[in-house]
Amino acid sequence: MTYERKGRYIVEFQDIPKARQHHIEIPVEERRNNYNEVELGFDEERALQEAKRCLSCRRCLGCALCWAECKTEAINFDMKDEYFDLEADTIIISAGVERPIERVNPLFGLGKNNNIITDLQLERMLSASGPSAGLVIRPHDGEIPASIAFVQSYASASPQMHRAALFLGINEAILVRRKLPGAEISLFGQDLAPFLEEQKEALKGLDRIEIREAVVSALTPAENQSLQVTVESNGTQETRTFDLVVLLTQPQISQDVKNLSKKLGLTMSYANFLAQDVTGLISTEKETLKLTAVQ
Amino acid sequence: MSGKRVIIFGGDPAGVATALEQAEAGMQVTLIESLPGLGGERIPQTRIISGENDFVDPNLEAVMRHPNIRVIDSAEVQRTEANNGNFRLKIKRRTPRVDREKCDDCKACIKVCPINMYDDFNEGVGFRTAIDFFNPKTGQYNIFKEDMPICQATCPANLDIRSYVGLIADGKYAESLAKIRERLPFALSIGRVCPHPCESACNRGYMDEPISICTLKRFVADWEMKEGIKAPVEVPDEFHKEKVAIIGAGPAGLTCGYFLAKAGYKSVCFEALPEPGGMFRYGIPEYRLPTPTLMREIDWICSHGIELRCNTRVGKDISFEDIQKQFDAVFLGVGAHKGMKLQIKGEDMEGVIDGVDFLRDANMGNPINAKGKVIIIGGGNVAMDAARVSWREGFDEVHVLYRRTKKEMPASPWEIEAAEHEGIKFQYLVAPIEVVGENGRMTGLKCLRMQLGEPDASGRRRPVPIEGSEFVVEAETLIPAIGQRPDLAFVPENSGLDITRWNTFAVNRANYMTNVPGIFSAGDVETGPDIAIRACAGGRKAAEGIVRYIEAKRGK
Repeated sequence: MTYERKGRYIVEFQDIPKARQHHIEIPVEERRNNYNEVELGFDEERALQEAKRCLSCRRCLGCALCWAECKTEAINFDMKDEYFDLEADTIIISAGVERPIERVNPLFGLGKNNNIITDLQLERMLSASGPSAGLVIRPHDGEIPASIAFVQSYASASPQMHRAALFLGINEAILVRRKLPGAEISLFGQDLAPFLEEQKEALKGLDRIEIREAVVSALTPAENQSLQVTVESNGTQETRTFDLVVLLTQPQISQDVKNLSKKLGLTMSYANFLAQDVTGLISTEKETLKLTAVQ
Repeated sequence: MSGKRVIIFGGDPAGVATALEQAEAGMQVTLIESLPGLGGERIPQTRIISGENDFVDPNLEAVMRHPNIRVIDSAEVQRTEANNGNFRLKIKRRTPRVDREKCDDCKACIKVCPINMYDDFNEGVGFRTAIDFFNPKTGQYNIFKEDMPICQATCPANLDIRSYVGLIADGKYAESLAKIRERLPFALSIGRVCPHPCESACNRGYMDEPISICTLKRFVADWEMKEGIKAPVEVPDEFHKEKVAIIGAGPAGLTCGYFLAKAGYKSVCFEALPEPGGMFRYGIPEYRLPTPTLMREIDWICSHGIELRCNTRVGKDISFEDIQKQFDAVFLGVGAHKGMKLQIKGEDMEGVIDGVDFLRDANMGNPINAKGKVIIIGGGNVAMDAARVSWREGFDEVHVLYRRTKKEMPASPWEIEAAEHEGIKFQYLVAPIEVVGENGRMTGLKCLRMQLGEPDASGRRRPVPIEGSEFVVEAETLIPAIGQRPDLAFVPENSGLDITRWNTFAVNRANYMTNVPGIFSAGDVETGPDIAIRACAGGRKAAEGIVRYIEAKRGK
């Protein structure tokens, strides 16, 4: 919920050099019985390459170009933070979830291989007001993908959270199907049976979307910036190629909610979050937690 | 209308729906969101979509206009309190720097903004400008401005990393070095030895690997040295008459003297050892920081207006009281040079030498009896230095014993890797229990195998001995390197200085003054053993404190 939060995955920086430069050092056999300096730093070429990798953590630098441009004089750099003293009889916390990318299996190469995105990134792409105006494209080259794989990227999650992740993934698959009628769409996940059974009615109308109980054991770059997906199910292994891979991330109760509940003097985990029955705490079906102060 | 006051946290669809519901029921609603605006369309995560309603679109307009709802965005909770049947909260709203009443949504600002930052409003898909709107339907423009990027905020000395790395990218090396020296005089040395916490925090690390900030700093400093450029000495034309005594010519003391000189105050630096540099000179091995490189830097620093008096041990060659009398302010930066004892039997035998003492001997060029096998105890950077120095000195075998596993070792991973690379042998989950020997000369070390138990206060799993697992490792030399403490023997008993239970000086972090007016302290003697750049940072802040103290005294 907080936009300073770290752990964001940055999609594309084609204009910035990729690999980190390594310092020069002398070989081990030249180090014994002497104290010659081991690390020799960068030469100029490496230093320039490395310095250009810096993202400058791009923020407003206060150049005031926008201020000069603004006709209505709405921009004011001296505007100060505001403080409010509030009183309340009831506090309601909306059970925000976050999907930290640290929880994504690092073997999947998120952030390293092209054309792998998270479910939340796809959600932004699908939104008409989002960065691609509702168009589903491959972030690397802007091509329309002809095949898309949704891949569960976490080993296990609490049943409620696993359910939320599957709802998001399947809903996204349905929306992608509407936008790209010809695309091949597959979803690989684990522990699907209870979910599929529960949602049997709603899933009847699924239009050519493959939902398969399977573990994805490898994701490797293939020709044309596509990805080879190694799928294991029922003891068999097969490798298929997809233009775009969407990782289903693990939802968890957001750090902000945890911090807030700590400030309010509550100790909470997800398990007792949806079913609070302590004095003063009421759970509702709307995924919110209501608190009234106790005397 | 009941008028009950309800605070709702979270501007996501569930929060917005609840806000509307509560407001309709007549409650006074405050909706609090930490992002700069309420969320837009989201895909439902509690049901399979069908037909038209694909996205949940919380009716944002209705929320914004409802008379009973107040929205506070960019908010964070500062304080909460629950009593007498209600809650009291203090909320901070970060400024958007845009008056949203006046903004007419013409987007002219976005067209001219030169900054391209990753689009955190859209999960990093593409870029946005530093001024942008959060929600296209409701506007909510916001300028994202922070005082410090994460690298700078993480650096103990708060070096302006973004600027000096950017200047290197532009090929402006001299300007880059000048930028570093605004806050740190030791570019050559820190560029070699710093464990660079900034790199662990670097945002680029979330994409592939962090920027090699430390080696870049070293590059510009090396560039000046290799090109033979004389580093500029910028001090005021006239110095003030007040003088400051600095005890200890290490990273903290010399940094303090450097910034005092820049502010127009001369200082005299007393050093007990024959050469200046402190742990830079006597703690860090030559192969990581060559003495000529260090001395070049120290000569330049002292040329600003620091008079060095080496071989002068305070409390022996000059008394602490004399210094207090002769100078207007005193800075204590004597470091932490006393190795901690293992507290085991036989520790006083010949062949046992503490890690810090061993490194000092090696750095001074004193002869070392490097025969047979050496055992180093500890998992920190001093242990790694001692191991790599032993290997260079020519011991037949170098073994490092650590009581936990490699994962828990506090040493920098690249130092461990380099040590392994050089052929140093590591034994994990082993703790020493007794030094064994004959006629006062050690012949081996009795050890116990350990296993990892529950995490302790440091968050690392506590090693638990395995009973009956004793064994003896034969060795001629034992180097314990399990931590250091300051040696405060020079402080007279009647000084009145507050000393903590870690044998460090207690200071007020606002000006680094101790409880005795006019006496300041920073570096390892104030923080306990820590990284060099933290000592430099303390030295600079103490210099600022000293300047304020002298000016206040003069004003009286």
